[in-house]
Amino acid sequence: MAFALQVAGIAIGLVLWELIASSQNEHVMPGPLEAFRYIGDNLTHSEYLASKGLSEGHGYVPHLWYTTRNVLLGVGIGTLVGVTIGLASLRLKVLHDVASAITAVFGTAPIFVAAPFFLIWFGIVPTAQIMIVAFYTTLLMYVFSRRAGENIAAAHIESALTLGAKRWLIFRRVHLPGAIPEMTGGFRIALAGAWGLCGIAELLGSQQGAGFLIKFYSTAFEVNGMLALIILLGLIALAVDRIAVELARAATRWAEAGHGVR
Amino acid sequence: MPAKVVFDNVSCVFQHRSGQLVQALRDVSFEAPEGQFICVVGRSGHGKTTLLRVLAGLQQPTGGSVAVGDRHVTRPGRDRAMVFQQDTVFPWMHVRDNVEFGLAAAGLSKSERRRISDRRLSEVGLDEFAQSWPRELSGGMRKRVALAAVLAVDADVWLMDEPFGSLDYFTRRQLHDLLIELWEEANKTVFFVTHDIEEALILADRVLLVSEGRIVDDLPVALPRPRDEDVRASAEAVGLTKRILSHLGVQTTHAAPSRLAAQG
Repeated sequence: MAFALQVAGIAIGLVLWELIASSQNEHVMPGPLEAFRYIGDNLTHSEYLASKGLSEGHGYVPHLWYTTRNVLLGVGIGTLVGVTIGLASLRLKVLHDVASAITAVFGTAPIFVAAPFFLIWFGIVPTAQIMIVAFYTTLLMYVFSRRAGENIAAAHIESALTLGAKRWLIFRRVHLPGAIPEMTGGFRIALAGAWGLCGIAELLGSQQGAGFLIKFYSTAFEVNGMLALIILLGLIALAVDRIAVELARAATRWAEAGHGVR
Repeated sequence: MPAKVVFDNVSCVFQHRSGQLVQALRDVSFEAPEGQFICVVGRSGHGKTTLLRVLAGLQQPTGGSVAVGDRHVTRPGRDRAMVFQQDTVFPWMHVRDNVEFGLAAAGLSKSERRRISDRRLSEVGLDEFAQSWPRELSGGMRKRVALAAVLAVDADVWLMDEPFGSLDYFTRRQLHDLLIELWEEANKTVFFVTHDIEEALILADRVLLVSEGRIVDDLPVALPRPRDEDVRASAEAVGLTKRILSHLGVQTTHAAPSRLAAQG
């Protein structure tokens, strides 16, 4: 039923797109069929990009892979750092004070303000894009993991203490698994936002990636190419999110287990 | 080995958020011999749980000292494992992993942990649920898991803070029987906090009555075991109930004493 509704939603979206496109100039707003045809023509091999000296004729694939890799690395690093700081800050007040101040100040800085700093510090290389994604992911995962840790019942920690557990065991087997369900929500938000962050970072300064190609197409006024890349990036983001959901489900089977015998 | 517990002039003062000081324990002194089953009875907010938490090492006294055997209590340890009123079974671990948690903390090998958890799960009647998630169990079964975890670490002193308070009467009675059976076999020192006088008379060798942070009475309970309805309706049991209730400020003229619980 849910799958049928999702398919119906996509179908309605495509019909609306076609209706809007049919009332516009095809160069300004191509229809879905035209956009998908463009994807087919340029995905793995693109005469157009090759003629412009881009992609060595390999089409969108290397650029999409570049963006996807940077997003996954950035989110991975940011999650690791954010969760570690978030959970460690439950015990270290100094760390909590410092991390909260940084989150409050830099968490509100728009990407357009923050990105130039990263480009200056790291150059026009993948590291800059990865660090931008990692930075914002760290802030988000810090907030979510700290809140998740705070929501673990004090009695669970005290019970672990009276059973002889030390800090590291409590962190590993109480705080971390207990916080996963709530952290999963933060992770999916970070992941969803990372595609946009990485795209913007590529728009501002990169020689590769989906964002770079979108910028190239916009300069060339090739709306078809822009739409094709946005659709492809969206589909990849959707697939990665599904994988994240399945992994999170596997890690939180205990939370979905049936309710007790009455 | 069961251990002798000594409270020596223990006081505990908290600062309330409003800044007001609250004296939860006032010069509490007593000795509990090895293997005794002690129920700590009193109204809510009069210091029962604080007494238990100080013994557990979860709360530092502001005066006096507590010793278990020849060791002063300064921090929590598995020689004083505790069953809480709240559900403290870790929902993200299978039942077996919950029982083995304290054993893992002690650094026991996997095979040794398995051997002990098999035995303890069998003792609490949950051997068929070793691979279940806690959410798949009833509240009473989860209390059995918590009991099995305490049994597994072979604590010298069992601390129980109203462990069955949230359960229905029939489940509670079943768990009373199980607890007594386990205690008689293990011969450990037990501190069991309750505000239910009937529960105290079913379980205890001795009742410590706590009021306003002080021990106001120390009652030996010499009723024969098992303490079925006839025993609890005996003149001695009724006399104990009246004495407890009078300390708690409850009139008993027309009440059925053994069924009364202290208010609060």
